Amino acid sequence: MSKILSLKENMQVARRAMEICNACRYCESLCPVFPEITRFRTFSDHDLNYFANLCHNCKGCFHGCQYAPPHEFDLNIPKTLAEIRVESYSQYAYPKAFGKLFFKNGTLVSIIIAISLALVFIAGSLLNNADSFFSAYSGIGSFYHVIPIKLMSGISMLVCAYVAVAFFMGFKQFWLESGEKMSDLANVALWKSALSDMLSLRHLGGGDEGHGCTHMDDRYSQTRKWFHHATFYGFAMTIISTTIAAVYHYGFGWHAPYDMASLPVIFGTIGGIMIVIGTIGLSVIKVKMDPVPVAQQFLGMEYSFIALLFLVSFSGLALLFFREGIYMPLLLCIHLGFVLAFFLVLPYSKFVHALYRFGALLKYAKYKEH
Amino acid sequence: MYDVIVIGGGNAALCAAISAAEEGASVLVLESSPKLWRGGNSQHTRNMRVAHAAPTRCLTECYSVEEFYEDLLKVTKGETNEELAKIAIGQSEEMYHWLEERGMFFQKSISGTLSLSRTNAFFYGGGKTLVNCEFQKAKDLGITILYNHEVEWLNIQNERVESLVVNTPTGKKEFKAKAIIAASGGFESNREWLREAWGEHAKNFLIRGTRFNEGKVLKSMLNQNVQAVGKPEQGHAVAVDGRAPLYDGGIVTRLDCVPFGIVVNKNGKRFYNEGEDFWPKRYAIWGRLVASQPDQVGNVIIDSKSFNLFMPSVFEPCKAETLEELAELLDIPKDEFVETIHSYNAHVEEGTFNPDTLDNCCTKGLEVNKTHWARKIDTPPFYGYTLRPGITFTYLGVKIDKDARVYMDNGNPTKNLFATGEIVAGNILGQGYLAGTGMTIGAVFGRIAGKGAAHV
Ligand SMILES: Cc1cc2nc3c(=O)[nH]c(=O)nc-3n(C[C@H](O)[C@H](O)[C@H](O)COP(=O)(O)OP(=O)(O)OC[C@H]3O[C@@H](n4cnc5c(N)ncnc54)[C@H](O)[C@@H]3O)c2cc1C
Ligand code: SF4
Ligand code: SF4
Repeated sequence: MSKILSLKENMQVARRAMEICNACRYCESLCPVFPEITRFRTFSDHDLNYFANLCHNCKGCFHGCQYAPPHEFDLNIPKTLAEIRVESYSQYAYPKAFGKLFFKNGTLVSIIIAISLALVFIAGSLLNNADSFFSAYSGIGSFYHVIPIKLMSGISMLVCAYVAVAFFMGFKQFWLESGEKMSDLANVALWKSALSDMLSLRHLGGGDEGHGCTHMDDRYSQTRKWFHHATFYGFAMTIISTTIAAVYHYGFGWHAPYDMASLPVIFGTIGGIMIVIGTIGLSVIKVKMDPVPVAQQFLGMEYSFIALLFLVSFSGLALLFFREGIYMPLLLCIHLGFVLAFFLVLPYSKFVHALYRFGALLKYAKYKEH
Repeated sequence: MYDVIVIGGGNAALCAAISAAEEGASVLVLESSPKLWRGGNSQHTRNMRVAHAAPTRCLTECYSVEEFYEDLLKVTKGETNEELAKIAIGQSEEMYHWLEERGMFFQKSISGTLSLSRTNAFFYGGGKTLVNCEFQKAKDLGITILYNHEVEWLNIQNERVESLVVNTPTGKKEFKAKAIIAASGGFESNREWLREAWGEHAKNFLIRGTRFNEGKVLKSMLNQNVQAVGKPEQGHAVAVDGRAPLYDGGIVTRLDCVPFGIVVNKNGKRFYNEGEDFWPKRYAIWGRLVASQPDQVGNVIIDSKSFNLFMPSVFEPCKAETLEELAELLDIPKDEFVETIHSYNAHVEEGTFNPDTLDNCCTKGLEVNKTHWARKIDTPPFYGYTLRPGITFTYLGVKIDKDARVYMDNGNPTKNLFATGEIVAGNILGQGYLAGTGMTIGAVFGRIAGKGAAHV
């Protein structure tokens, strides 16, 4: 395996790479990074952080580069940018001290899962006796026999607020450091452009050309885009499901579990299945892909995030399936444990790529016309 | 036994292999490079020239077959085989669609190349991406590809290739096929041969493309009375940054600053009009010009006024606050160097500088005048780039007919030997070069050769 470079060395490698690309420009249609490079003659660390987050890690510029190893220029842009990207996540992390967590993500996720599961189980067992923990409940409010609704929603609100603050602070730092002003964000056109790029995964789909991207090797296809779509929209559907459920609960006083034919269950089920499919697909790509243009040391972060997302969805589906039986309390605790863990690690997980990539797309929208 | 063996793994070879396979032939590709170095010179290209009657997604306006042909006549000064040239040009648009239909993509002209957006279709991601997609297509068609297989000798008897002698990782082996397509490029990476053909000074030349085009297939054919086209001493050479790697420097080693400065040799003397014409029209003569200077070195000198006028270069220039210091960095005798600059500055006639037109800034009264973009070199910091000749490709090749069939010296067609790509470019490019025609010739005659070979 190749040597792991320090951040400073990586910045130097990236700067050199950008200079070579700027003299070459063959990759100009591959993604927004290359047309953006041409605006510059020199590259600051902040510029490189921006490029790193603008990169959607398709590896097309590695497979198609005549200066990739074994060439002595040794260009490996996807890998170099991936390393800088993770470093940038850690620099933007809020609170700052937690930035280090990005480098031990596998361990972090396992520990948080363990703690979350334990907490939910302790809560579950304190609030129930041994008999009732393995009993079949049914009917309205059965979940709250296991974990009371007040506790459930209280904790989730706290966690959500924390996540929101962490995201906002991180985003703000990214945006200001990249040389933009917060007031630029009032420009609706930027949001429109970035949102449309994000919701359509335009660049993973091959941009204007529309023939997809490379991912496992040098073949272009839409596979990664579709699995990402499944994960993204599956996740969106589970959020919608939860939101509807909250409205039902607080707005109408209708309490869970809901009917199989109810909106929360339909959205939750379809979303859950989509995430399961999407995360399995994305993992298979990661396992099979050419390892050379990949920042191996950070794969743990990617796998642990995908795995957590999978576990949340899979346990949710299992809960739905077995909710009438005696395993419901057990499954509920497991599911809630995973959900809690998921949100706790969210600001220090691969999830933040959505945040900073979106920020980079906003910035790109500002300059792309020129 | 395979129906068709294709020698080489660049654009020409792969178009031929794909075309033969689509005609139903079983195809084997023998490529001398390892997989990671595959793609020959084709991996360094960026576009192909395409005639088109109306704008396409990636090409602007219209570029008629007639205009393409006229452009070709201009650069070759009429030295072209009209029949073959018209086939290449006439089928160029069809070839563009042929490639697209098979999963090779094009993009709009890349920044800094606007002048080519009408005539040249740019490969999406450049030549290496093109070649990768061609290899993927070949794989889908069931074509076998053997890397590290260098064809050393074609066994030609009675105008038929009976077998190929191939250097493989496990020793020499013989391969047979009903038909053979030679698409193994020129001999530009063969230093020995270059020295023979171009003289001693070829030892200081840099090779802009692959290290694997050693011309062994070409030599083997010429040694067995296959009819040649072009002369060994003909080739395309440009001036590149002197610090470029010995091989595979490709596009990024070019230096576009010559028209904005002056060029001195290692003795500090100017030797040619740097502002004769726009750089894209002149860059190809500077290879020869630098090649004829002592030690085959030139040095472009500019001052800070001109630093942002050209495409950025990959190598840092030598930079100094005084001319003396710069001379030292560039290893040029100080006095001569300073004297050259001073005398140049003294003869500059002030005009209105405009890099986009043939402006009126020039020198008068020098032995070698600069006729455009001449401005005094007087604003530090001063910058210097070293120039060396960089060979793009050689022209010596084999004669083919409209079916891409190879001929013998006695005028007879060979029975089962076809050729395409750089190895036949000399049929159409008797001299000079028109950007993007190399890939067009390889693709068009590749498709033709594949079809022909499949039905031998
Ligand atoms: C830097 C650079 C930029 C260029 N840009 C352009 C451009 O933009 N547009 C354009 O039209 N042209 C361009 N050219 C010219 C262009 O590269 C050639 O015209 C074209 O690539 C020829 O294609 P080919 O398939 O014949 O040769 P190549 O692509 O060179 O392929 C020849 C292959 O044969 C293999 N080979 C050689 N000897 C043997 C052997 N004995 N046995 C087995 N295999 C062998 C080699 O390894 C190689 O893979 C450029 C050239 C260079 C160097
Ligand atoms: S990645 Fe390679 S091919 Fe692409 S622009 Fe950069 S140097 Fe050129
Ligand atoms: S890996 Fe893909 S997205 Fe990233 S810079 Fe390269 S081409 Fe662009």
